[in-house]
Amino acid sequence: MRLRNENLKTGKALTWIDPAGRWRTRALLFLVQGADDIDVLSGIQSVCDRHIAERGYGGFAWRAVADPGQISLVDNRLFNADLARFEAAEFGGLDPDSLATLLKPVIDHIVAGDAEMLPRAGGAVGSPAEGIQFLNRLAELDSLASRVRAGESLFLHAPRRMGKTSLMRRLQAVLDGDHKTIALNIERDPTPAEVAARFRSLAAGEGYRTAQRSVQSNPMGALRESTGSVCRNSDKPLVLFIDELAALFEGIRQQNAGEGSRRSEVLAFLSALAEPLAEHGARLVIAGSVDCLDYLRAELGLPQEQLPGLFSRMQRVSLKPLDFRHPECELRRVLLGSAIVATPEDLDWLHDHVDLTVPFPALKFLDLLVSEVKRAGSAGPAQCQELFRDFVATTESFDDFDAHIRRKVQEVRNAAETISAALDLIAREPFESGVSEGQVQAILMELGPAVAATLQSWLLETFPVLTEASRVKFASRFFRHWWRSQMRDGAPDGDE
Amino acid sequence: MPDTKLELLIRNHFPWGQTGFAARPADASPGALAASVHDWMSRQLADLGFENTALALHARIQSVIDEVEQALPPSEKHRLFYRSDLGHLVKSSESILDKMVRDWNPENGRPRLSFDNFLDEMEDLARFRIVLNFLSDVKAVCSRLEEPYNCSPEELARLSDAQHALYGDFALRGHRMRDLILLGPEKRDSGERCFKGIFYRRANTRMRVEVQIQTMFQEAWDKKDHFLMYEPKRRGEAVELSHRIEIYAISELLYVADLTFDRLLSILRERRARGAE
Repeated sequence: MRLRNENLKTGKALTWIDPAGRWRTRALLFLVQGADDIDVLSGIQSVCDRHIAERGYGGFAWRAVADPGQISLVDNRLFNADLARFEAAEFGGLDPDSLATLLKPVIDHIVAGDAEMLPRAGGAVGSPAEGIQFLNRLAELDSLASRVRAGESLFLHAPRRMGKTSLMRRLQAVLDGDHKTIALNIERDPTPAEVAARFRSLAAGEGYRTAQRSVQSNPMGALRESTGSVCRNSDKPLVLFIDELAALFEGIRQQNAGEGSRRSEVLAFLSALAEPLAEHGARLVIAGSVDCLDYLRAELGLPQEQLPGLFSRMQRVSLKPLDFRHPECELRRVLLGSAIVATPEDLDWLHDHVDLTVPFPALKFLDLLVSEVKRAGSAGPAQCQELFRDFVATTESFDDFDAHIRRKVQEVRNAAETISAALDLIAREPFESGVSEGQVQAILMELGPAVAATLQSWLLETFPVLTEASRVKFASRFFRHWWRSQMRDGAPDGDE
Repeated sequence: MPDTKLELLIRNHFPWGQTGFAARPADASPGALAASVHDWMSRQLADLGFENTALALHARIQSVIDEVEQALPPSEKHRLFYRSDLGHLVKSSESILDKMVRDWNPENGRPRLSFDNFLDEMEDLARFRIVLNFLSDVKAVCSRLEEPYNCSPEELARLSDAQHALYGDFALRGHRMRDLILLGPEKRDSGERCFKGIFYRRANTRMRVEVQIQTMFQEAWDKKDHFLMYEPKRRGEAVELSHRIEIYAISELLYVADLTFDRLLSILRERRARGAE
């Protein structure tokens, strides 16, 4: 693995000059080094031309480039800054279908005028993925948008780092035209009074600090009044987005000594929020790594049917691990976006160890790998392996999965050992084949048949685990490697 | 109005409907037939990869030129050394058809150069030009490009990586660039001055690329000659003899100018070298 050689000069550029004449120009420059690139370049050209013709895009043209620094000599409307450089060799060894999977979205992004065309390894580390970093959940996005438009309120549930905040933000962007959308940030406003102040500020146009003083004496009343007012003042139906609502319940726990008063404050908050929303036909979309409906039932004895308004009708949506039709292509897209050129051996290693099914840890590792390549100039499979071993042994990226197990233990005694035993069993088998469903069920049955059934569903919803043709397997190689590293007894991890 | 030679060539000698060739269009007007032939020729050149072969060769040659530039005295690092002209990497179908009809007499039957053999017969279907500042730059670059092809096997080891890569990917016809600069007056039928080499891809010898290497004056002369002499002749317009004589003479004058600039460059280098001592 090495950095892209952007010192190469000769290449072929697919240039785009906005046919609408808005002075927007872009160019993909495929740099060549020698005869090995001839057929690759022809393949690239053929795939791009076909896509451009199929979509009826205008403004594209191929141009030979002898020196990217003098691209304006090729066409004086083009500038060096318009060029996105690639080595033709980065597309070597790909069949036309894979080439199309890689290049078609890039061309679509150019025409859409998007600033970024490919995801980067470091692009989604530390913040929810947005724009180009948002990976492969477009089908889910469409489905969720349809459900909200049809009047449903949704609870998106998935372990952290699976992309639910990103999905929620994209959903908000999609719905924003025909709905009024408000996103509530519980990390920023972690108490009912602060949420009330935020709504008061929106409803009355007061500054946030003034609103805080206004709601001080009766936060729940102010929340109810302001929420209703926001709904009334909007000519479009309101969709309220809340991330990690359970954090607010935790905040209430810390403030209140008694379980009873905590329960009634939570209920009062939910009523003050949900009833005016329901009255005005608004919808709620909540995302959380902690299942707030489970939490209310387990911690406060509040089953969903007893919750007020929209909360009682909320539909739970478990976000499954990302499903990639072309997993290698997705990895290649990230490598292309990160200016890293991988050899076939590197790609084989990546295929065996890293996937974007659970995107956050994978992108975090790839970011580390990119840094190492930048530092050392190159990295082969041996260096990748070393880096990977250290990463899976020390990363906190998967800690949420442990937190889920700990929470389950509060509900089902001895669940931790049983869940671990089931996951150990799956992890020991080869990734491709997994283990028979019967073997997993046999382990879960130790907790009794009723618990076993719900635990199996929970396992599939909570972990990157899937069932295919009565075989249970991991959906993510990366997660499997991490789990296996957790199982290690000091001996080296013996990968098959 | 009688048919032109080109119309006759397309109508009677394009293998309409044969394997690998275009089907005769429903509209058999000369314009529709010509459009169909132009489209077929362009696709042939693109599908076979002439343009991309030329680009790959340029990349290899560029690395060799960069080495020559790197070897310039430090005081010349900033000066203009070369530029590439990749503006017409593949010959246009118009030019190819023009070449087919140029020496063809319709009464003699099938033309020597035709649709079934032009891909193999024509050597400049793909081409590009490297334009250097001084005549000595041209010679230095050509010598460096020829070196892998005319050195002895034991000398191969001292070639640079760039020369090895060029040699590995492409062969050079005759192991030499043709010198159209140092050509005696008795052998010269045009003012064209350059080094010309036909490179072909080792993995597919059908893919040939003509490379022209010349000075900026030589290129300037060629551009003007192309517009003032070649194009009018191609269109069948009359070109006065006095104009041809003048144009030819200018090529000689520019050659002298190149020699003069080279001499001045050489004096400057010597003076700087002495100063450095």
